[in-house]
Amino acid sequence: MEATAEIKTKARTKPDTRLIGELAPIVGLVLVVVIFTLLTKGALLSSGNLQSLSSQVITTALVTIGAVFVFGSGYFDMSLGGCLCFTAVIGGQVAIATGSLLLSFISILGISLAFGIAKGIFATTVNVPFFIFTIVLGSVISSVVLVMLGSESTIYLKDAVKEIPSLTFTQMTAVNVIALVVFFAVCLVLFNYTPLGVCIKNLGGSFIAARQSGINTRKTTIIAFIVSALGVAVAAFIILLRTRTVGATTASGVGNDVMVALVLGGMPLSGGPKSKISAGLIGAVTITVLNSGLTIMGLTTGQIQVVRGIVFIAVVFVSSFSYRGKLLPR
Amino acid sequence: MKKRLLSLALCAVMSAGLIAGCGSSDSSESSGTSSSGSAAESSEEASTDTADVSNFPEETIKIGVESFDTTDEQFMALQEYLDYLADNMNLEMVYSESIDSAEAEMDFIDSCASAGCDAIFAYYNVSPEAIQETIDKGMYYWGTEQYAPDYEDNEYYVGCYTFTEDDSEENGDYLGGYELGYSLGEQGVKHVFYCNGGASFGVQMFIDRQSGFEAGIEAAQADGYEIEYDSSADVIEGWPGTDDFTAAVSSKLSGDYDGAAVSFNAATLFQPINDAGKADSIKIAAIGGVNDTYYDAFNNGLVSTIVYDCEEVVFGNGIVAIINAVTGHGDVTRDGDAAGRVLTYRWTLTDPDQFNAIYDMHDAGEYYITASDVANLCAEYNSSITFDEINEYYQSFTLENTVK
Repeated sequence: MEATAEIKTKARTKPDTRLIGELAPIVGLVLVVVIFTLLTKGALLSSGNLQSLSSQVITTALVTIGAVFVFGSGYFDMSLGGCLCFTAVIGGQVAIATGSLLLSFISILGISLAFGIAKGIFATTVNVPFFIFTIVLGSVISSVVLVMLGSESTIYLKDAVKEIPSLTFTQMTAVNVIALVVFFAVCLVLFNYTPLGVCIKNLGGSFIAARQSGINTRKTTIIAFIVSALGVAVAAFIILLRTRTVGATTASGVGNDVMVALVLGGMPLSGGPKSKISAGLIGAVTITVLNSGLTIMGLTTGQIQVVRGIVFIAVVFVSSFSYRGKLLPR
Repeated sequence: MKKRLLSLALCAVMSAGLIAGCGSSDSSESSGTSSSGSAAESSEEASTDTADVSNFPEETIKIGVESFDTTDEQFMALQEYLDYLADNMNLEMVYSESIDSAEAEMDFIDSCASAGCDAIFAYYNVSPEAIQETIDKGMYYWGTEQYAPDYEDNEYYVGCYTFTEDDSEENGDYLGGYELGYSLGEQGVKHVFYCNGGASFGVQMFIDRQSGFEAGIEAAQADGYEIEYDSSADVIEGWPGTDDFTAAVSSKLSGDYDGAAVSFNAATLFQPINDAGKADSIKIAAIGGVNDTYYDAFNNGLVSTIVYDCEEVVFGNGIVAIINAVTGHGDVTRDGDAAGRVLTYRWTLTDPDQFNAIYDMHDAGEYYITASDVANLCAEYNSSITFDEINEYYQSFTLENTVK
């Protein structure tokens, strides 16, 4: 009887623990917002700062949401920051050469998609650990950017052959919100309500099982990279619009931010069935609110890093409740 | 489960404790000692007034400070000075993390606006758009001579420092490089190699420094000093941390060089030179600071020249401009119709006694330009002050006038 009772207790407790893990990213985000709203005496949620937050979150959010498709497929892409920088620099150079934002966007989109397709083809044809390839690719791209920039370390759109109008703060906020909502909605539908999402999750869960189930792994992988490339392209264009400045250091922190955002959003980096598109958005917002709140509080760099580290550890720790015991999350 | 919850509770307690303990400093609690009169007296022009100015300005002025690398020695020294001012005046500083891109810079400025900052102190700047963003957010902006012509008519742009009296292309970096080259020639160095940092990668400040260095070598040769330098064979490109740089340094140290000029932190050369047994036969000239890194090397002769930007002299005038602008005395920041550029001088240190005098003063938390000196340069505190007087005041801080 006692043994039966113990089994029942375990059966009751396990779902609760998993539920805590599932909700941890959302609870973490809410807590971060509430705590920093109190600590900054409401400055965090002031209308001005909300507009600022939209500008701060947009790059990380777009790239991370797109990256869910790649990471969900089981591929670890470390070249996202490099690709973003490269496409933004190309876009900047086209804008300066032609004075046209439309041509700039088209070139950004073309280059980014080319990167996505190339990475997808490489991932499915070359038998090399993909993350090593992307580390090398990111490094090579950075070097190419330096060569492209030549004697200039930075490109300013104000040097364009025709004057390119700059957007006001409010216009920029509108662009950010529209881009984010549209891209998130498209990705949400693709990932949760189409066969593509099912294929990606299966592929990330087990490549062999996915192939034996009849999934076209090559096509699925390439499409995943294309969606990710779309996010990179939109992010690169928005960086160009907002800062009107690009250079070799553009988006230098995005690679790490994407990784952190995915983890904070509750997504296993190894991909698989537990991948969720919301992780990209929740993680990106969490890391942005955290950074903004800490800066508004006026903490020193050291204090910011310590607090940020502790929050990350806490959220990741709670998220781990939903993983299967002693196994890598799949 | 219990263990997990216990660990989680501990994490929460740590986070809450840390955040609570990390609140921004209240300037009203300032207890720092006022700078000594002796420090200010060492300058012929420096004020000896050490009045308590902890309640000046009347309302706290909050300033966002941009940095490219929070571990950079010059920035850390500047941060100490700004913290000293914040402790002894009614100022509050908000420091950026290391800013490496235009978007990170814009993010910081946006956060500063939300934090209620009155101004941005640009120790570093990536993009001119950051200046516009600051102005659009209703904050004052100090710094970045490069973009001054585009913004100097705007009332929210309150000026910058400059090393040159006119608009010549011989900017501060050029002059710094010049001092490296000329002083090594003057010290009897026969053959020098030059570490050019990012010059070969198109980084303008390093390009200017290299141009200045080569001009300094030519000037030294013209003055009869027998220093040799070949701009193709005697240059090491890039920064430490790469195999290429390490190999190039080893190669140079096996040659007949008796001088090394470094356009960045020279500490990375100390170990290789010691390992090569050349500590007594090579002199290093570097653009650097007066700090622990150089203390031993300067006193034992390995480093013979440091081109140094004294923090309170070169950058301190930014705080004066910001206070004047925020307290409604923007006219004091104007030179005619344009934002004022305060002329300051770099100090070329070649004498260990001078180095030690500066080191000892700063180590004691004292400065050549004290908080009360800064207050005296503000119209709200000293109504008769003008921009010309502020400019002349900072110009008076030459090495010879200041460090006896």
